[in-house]
Amino acid sequence: MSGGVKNLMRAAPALALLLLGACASTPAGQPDLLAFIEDGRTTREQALLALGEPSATYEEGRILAFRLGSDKGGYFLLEKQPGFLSVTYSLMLAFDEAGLLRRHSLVALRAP
Amino acid sequence: MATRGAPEVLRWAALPAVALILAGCPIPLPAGYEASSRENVSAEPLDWVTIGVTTREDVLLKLGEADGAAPDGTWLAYGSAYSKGGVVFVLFAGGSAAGVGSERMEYRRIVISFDEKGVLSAIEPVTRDCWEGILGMGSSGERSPPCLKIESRE
Repeated sequence: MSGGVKNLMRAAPALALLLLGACASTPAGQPDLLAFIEDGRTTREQALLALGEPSATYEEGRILAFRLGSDKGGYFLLEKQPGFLSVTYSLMLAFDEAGLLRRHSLVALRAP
Repeated sequence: MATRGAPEVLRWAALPAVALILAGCPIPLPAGYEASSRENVSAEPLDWVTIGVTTREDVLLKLGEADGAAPDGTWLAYGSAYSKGGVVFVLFAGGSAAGVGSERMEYRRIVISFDEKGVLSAIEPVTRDCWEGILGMGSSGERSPPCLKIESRE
């Protein structure tokens, strides 16, 4: 048996796993993505460090908006693009003048 | 050199479209929201808002990120695009496809205005129904522009 064929046979199981794995969808959602959010405690800086750049800001950055998708695993962040393609939730964070979270809401953009 | 008038050009463009309708397979387009549209813009009046009391923060926390906003924050626009269904006539030939059709759309938009203190001062709901044309050739396609811009006040 030639070396090329032997190498191919050795690689076959890995290749099969790769092909099978490509069919399976892994949930991208994180169950604890929003666990840090707590009114009266979470700071604006903590929110930005945990969630990154907001998709929109209002009232000179006092109110932040983030776009979220969801799956069996939990929530995942989505980047801003025209329209709300694949966006299932809009996370809204309203801070006070000191940068402390005053109120927040997770708004469902799609019908359940 | 003589140029063709618009009606003549339209007549020439209409011929392939009519041929497609006559020879193509009709494919129904199901009703439903456009993929990029939000679904939380109600046709009913917003019973949770009070002019002179509700704030910009209240609106944002209730409806989420807006589709459009004034640079100075004086208004927010929320909108949705819903298809009531339609039909496309598709012709397959020589490994390629062409299609022409129409879809009935319902656009809904609410523009919410605020005063200088961020308190709600006006609500302008608009709903518009229209037919939109669809034309496709190979992998490219065009559709007529929406009859209502949901992200602006226009």
